Amino acid sequence: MNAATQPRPQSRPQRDEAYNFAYLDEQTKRMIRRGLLKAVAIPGYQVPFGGREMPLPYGWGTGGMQLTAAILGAEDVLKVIDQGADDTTNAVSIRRFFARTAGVATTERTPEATIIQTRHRIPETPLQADQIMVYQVPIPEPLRFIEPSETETRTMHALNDYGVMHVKLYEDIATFGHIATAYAYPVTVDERYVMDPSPIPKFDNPKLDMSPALMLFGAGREKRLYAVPPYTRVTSLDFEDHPFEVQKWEHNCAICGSQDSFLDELILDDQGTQSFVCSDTDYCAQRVNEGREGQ
Amino acid sequence: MYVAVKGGEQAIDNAHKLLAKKRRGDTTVAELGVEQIRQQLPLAVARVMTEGSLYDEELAALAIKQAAGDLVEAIFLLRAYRTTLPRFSASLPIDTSSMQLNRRLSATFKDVPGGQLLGPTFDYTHRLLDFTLLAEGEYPGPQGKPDATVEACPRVLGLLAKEGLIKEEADTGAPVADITREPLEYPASRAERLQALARGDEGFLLALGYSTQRGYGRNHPFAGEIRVGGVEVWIEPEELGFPIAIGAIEVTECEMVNQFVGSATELPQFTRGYGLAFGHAERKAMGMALVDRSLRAGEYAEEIISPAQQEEFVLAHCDNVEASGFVSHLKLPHYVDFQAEVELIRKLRKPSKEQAQ
Amino acid sequence: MSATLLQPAFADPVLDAQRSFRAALKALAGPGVTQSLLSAQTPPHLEGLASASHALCLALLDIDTPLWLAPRFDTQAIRANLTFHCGCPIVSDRQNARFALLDDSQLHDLSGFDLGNDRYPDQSCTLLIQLPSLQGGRQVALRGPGIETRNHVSLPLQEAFWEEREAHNDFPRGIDVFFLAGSELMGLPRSTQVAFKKGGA
Repeated sequence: MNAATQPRPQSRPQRDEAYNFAYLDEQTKRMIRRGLLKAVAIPGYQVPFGGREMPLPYGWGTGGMQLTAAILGAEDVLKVIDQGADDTTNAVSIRRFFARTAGVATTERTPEATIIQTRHRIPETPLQADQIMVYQVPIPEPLRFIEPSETETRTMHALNDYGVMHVKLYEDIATFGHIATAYAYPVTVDERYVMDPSPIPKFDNPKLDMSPALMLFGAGREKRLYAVPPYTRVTSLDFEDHPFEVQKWEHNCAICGSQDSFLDELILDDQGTQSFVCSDTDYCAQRVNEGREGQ
Repeated sequence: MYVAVKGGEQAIDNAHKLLAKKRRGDTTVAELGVEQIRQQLPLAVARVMTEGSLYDEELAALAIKQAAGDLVEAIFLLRAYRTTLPRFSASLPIDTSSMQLNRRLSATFKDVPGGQLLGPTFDYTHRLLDFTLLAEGEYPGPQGKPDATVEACPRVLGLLAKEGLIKEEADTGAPVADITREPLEYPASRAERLQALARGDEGFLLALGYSTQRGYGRNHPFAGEIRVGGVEVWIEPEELGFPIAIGAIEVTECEMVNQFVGSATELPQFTRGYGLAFGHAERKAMGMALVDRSLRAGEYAEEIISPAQQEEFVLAHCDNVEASGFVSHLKLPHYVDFQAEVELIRKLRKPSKEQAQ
Repeated sequence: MSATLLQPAFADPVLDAQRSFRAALKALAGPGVTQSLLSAQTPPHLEGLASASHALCLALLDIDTPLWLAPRFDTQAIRANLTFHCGCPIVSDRQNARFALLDDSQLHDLSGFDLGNDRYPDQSCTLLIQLPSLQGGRQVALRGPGIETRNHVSLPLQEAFWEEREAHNDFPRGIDVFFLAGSELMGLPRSTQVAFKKGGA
């Protein structure tokens, strides 16, 4: 049995009984749940849903929160990260919200979590079967920056016509010599729908491909949700002569010495002295626990 | 070793305490009561109820107090509260023709059946600061006959319609979607559009309406009728089988008379735009009516070229809770994406640097 | 409607609905893998419905989901209980149904159900197919999203079902199915491709 189904004993917070379990009312949850089932059945397709106002502002994770609220159960162990870190203010705020309204156990350890709500990162620690990732999505439509009209982009998805996207990427190559997209880099899901993987750095894109975990995406303001089932082919758009590649650092993490994690750049002084540390704080802390360190 | 912003938990707690302190201000000054806000800032309450989509003066006043006077924040508070409320029933359409009027005007006729009633308005005030209001407690109170009303009277546009001069607005009887339960899809029905505009930001609609007056989708509006007053709300519970009144609310309604249309087969007729808001909210109702009419461009085969005529543009951006949320989310950390961009731009600059050497 | 027709529903309406939904989510995200509901979390017996069928109805249906019932399920008890607990309208026309409850006598003809359209393929009907068992039929291999390599299943289904499914699958339009037997369920989304083993099971 893996760690996800057998979490370490955790202190469960007291649930605030003034609200329904996980805040949302049952009818709203059912509506979202039905949407999620369709999203799983049509990987990468954006399902419209009757998004509700949440007590957090739009743009701050209301889509992800509604999905989490709809799937969360008393047995779940929830992890919330923002920029890869568990202790960034918005991650703290969302984790507290569910601790209060659902009384669920929370964790910072990736392998212990059954549900991980995230903004902008996929953990470095490989995900497992039975884990669910919930992504907060600001603009779910990958074609939006090329075609602002929803009427038009929906037609493009319906016709499987992604010519404009390829033209845009090719123009990048012509102008810059590279595809000039560093995050929210579009992917094709199971060779059909072009999907916005949310604003994760493209460094994380390969983690979506054939992942054993279920990936759910929620855009609250835009009222769309979509999914990538486990073991689904997810390929980043590219060209034969300009294959997709992820960024690499010339530095290691200053704390744990990791050579292969996504690094945050810190400016240490007025002279602009740089230092690099892991963006995934749990991954970094575990490496330190195992006795690794940086220079 | 420098460590990036940690201790989020403590920071949030402290921020909440500082906010409470800022809201309260100088504690030697008496605390503002919710009832004071409700009674003495009724126009702020009206706006919060309208854009918050919930008619509850007390809760709107509470939201204004809690938001320290930030009306967009107060609207958000009311919306977030509203979203969890159970729905018992949908009311019958309110009948604004039988409105208990306390203000009514038409700019299209010198006099109209039922008459014009100026009512409480800033319109003809000279915008000079009134220093008697500064001298607290010395304001003598309202003078004259503040409660004058006119009886329910026919609608001005109805008079035009009798003569066939204005397009009839027929109820198709089609089921009305609820944009707070189902996502808005484009093209939207007029009912959905009006719902979105009713919740829309007053400033945004005002500016868009203004833009049509300045030629961006000009449609020659006249204020056909503006009425402010009380209407009864009726519901028809299934188990009763007959309607019952559950109370009265104050609303502001604006019907604009606009540019006529006609064709080889149809005689020219005026068209209209419609605005409705909770409480006394004329600017909102007028802005809404102007934008409603401009969004009907397609219906009247007008060329759609201006922002106020573009349904997706208007409806996708008119909600201030959505807009302020997404703009304010830029304050959240974005350092992962920024880091990815920094790496990219360093990479993109490399070849040109080499070429330059 | 007689009051004795009505049965209690979930013991814990909030958490049991959530558990049933999660089982359904897992089933659809892993086509061909049997999921089981714990007896403590399924609703009391309702004549004619397997406990998994009953649980999924309670978890997913409400006033927004018109339901089509195969004749076998169109009983006074099922109608009364689903109408009472879920509030779902029961429709006689397949085209208007968002969910449909079928038994194995219906599987030679899946026509009439909404498959969604290319712009909104999610607006399709979901089929809840109750079977005597989830095993015992000819083995087929499933491939596609949710499946690492291949999942083999031996659902007790006639050839005609697979042909009907094929005929009504025009991705992204299509039919999503939950197979239900006893307290077990299995998902078969439209994205799954089916291959028959050479020489049969």
